[in-house]
Amino acid sequence: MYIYDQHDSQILNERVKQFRGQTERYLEGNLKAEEFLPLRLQNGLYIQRLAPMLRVNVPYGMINSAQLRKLAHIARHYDKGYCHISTRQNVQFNWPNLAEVPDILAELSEVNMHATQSSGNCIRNTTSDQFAGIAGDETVDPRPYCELIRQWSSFHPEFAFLPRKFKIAVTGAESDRAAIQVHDIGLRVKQNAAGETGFQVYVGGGLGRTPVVGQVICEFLPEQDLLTYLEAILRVYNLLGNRENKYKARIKILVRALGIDVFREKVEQQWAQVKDGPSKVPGAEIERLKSFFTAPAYETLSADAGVAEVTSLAAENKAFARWLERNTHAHKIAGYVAVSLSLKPTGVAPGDITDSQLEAIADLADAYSFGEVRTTHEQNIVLGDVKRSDLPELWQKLKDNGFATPNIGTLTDMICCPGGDYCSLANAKSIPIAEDIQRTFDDLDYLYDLGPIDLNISGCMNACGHHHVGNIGILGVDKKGAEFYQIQLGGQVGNSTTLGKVLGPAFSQAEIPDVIQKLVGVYVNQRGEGESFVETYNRIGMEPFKEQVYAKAD
Amino acid sequence: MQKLIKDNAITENQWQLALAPEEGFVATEPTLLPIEFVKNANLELPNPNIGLLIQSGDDISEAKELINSVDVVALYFKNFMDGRSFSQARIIREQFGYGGELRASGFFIRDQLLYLKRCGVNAFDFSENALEPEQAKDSLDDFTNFYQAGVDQPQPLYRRRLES
Ligand code: SF4
Repeated sequence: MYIYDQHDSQILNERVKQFRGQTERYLEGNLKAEEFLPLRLQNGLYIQRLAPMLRVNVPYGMINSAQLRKLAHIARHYDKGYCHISTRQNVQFNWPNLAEVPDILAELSEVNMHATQSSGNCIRNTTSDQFAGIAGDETVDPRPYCELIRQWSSFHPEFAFLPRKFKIAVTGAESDRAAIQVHDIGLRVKQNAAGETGFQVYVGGGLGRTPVVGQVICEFLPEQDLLTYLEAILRVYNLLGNRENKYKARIKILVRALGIDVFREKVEQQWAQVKDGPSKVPGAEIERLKSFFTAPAYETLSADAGVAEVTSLAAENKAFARWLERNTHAHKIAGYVAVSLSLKPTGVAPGDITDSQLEAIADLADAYSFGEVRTTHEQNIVLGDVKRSDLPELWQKLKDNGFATPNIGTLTDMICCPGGDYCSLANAKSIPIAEDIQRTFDDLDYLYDLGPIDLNISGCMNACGHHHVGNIGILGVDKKGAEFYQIQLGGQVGNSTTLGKVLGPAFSQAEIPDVIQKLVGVYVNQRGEGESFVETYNRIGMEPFKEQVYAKAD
Repeated sequence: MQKLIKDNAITENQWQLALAPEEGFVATEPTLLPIEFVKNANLELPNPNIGLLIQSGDDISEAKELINSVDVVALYFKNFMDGRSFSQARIIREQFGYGGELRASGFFIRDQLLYLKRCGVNAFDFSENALEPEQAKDSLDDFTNFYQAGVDQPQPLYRRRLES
């Protein structure tokens, strides 16, 4: 993990002090609310429906046990004892007191954490693959580049007042788990035939009101040119992006309006000015950053280490077998696996986690995974480096702490935004919908038989719950003041990113569980051998689903 | 005369703003005129009474020569949320090589001073906003170290780190 040096600490401490001053000026009446607004947003502070919300960055999802304990402390002392993992790998506190936020930021800085630019019209936290550095299908570890981007984008003087927010995601694996095609900029680190490292660059993707799949602007950008190229894209966007209408202000609209070729030309014009200047990244800096993401002290184990223990327990214990199948993942090092901690047990808002659970994870990370964990954009937590032979013991402890719900990748492992319970922009609640669905699909055997299904819920068209790319997407809509839910089908994220299509007229909350059951029923009846929900949908299309759901009762 | 911060010191502002001069307007004292107006009127430059006023929406990509023929350029903020002036400032300094006074005017906020300075702005005109220059000036010291290159520090931290 990246460790701060005196420069990083100095910059962060200056930021904490700056925000303390800004908050004081606001509370004393010396800073207008509309002027404080962008300043607090750029420190992660929203004013929500019920209270402020503070979003703390987890840079590219990496977090260590000391940081987890600090988050637990903050949840306990400044909040109501819990927090929330967001769909961009960050952590959100729902009940902080505005006057105490400078203290919270000071506490966070003690463990190299911050809320810098976690909100507002600026470059946000860079996200990545939750299996970065450990996945078998990875060509290049994306994390050193994520850190390079984090530092470059933090307090960037030119890009703090962009037309709208700006999100960057990076993957280094064959299978894209970072959703790079639905980000303002998506980067795929790869190697060319000559063995040089560089990036395939996507631009202009995004969800929200106008969902768009990103387009390739550059097939191979050499690694030392990364920051100058990003700077050129951001400058073109900053100068030409729409500032009149906030719904047309994202870069995707600009790219679409100009066309990718004209947009590329403009970027290259700007890039030519800065490409070979001092901002070109020296190889030594890339090496320095890579040195923070070296392999931990893995034991040398045989490929089948632990297999016997694990198989025999799985044979006699069905719950363990299910968990093993759903919640553990292959690791590139022999004898190791990655383990997902499900934050989606029935009855808990998806992604919510308590102070004592955070501490429990910190202890488990220290005991079983070199003191580090990862947050995922599916709102779960991953222990990245677990010895297979430790799994039986670890499973027991995960069960004790409520993390062993064996539902990773299934219908009940939903992505769900905070919705109307917390968010002032919501059209409808989303958490109760998630809960209704979890209660409906509580038969684990049935759930497994259904195989992988991504179900995503957003409380409004801002799409924080990524409903467009759910195999089943649920969107909260307002119908004459009442909360309704529109269903979309066929969305996909990753290498074959696809936007879902609307099924038909929206439903009330009470109707949703039955509708989901019917949709799943169509799949079960029509599926071919080994076909997943979305594969069946792609083959048979929308009609059979529509017929079933909207069939008139006789 | 209103106060101005220039090169980190508080001084008197000598220039007036003419946001919408009438056709045929002749500057008899130091005046900042819209860049379009100066271009269209074909005024002879340099002229000690003429500086340029650039709005965030102005396209400056072809204005290198014009900008380099005046001593004072003002980037005018109609609304502090409009960040285009930040990019304009960098282009004027880094691409046009402009060495004269580059000031922010209009409705910027004090918390933008340092970022503007980093983008190449070296003067701040407070005549249209309610800021006290003495207090606002403190914000220029909010940060003393930076990650990325700027006009004030062309070496990004990653180069300075490697040297130390
Ligand atoms: S999708 Fe809408 S309701 Fe949900 S968190 Fe985002 S803005 Fe709020």
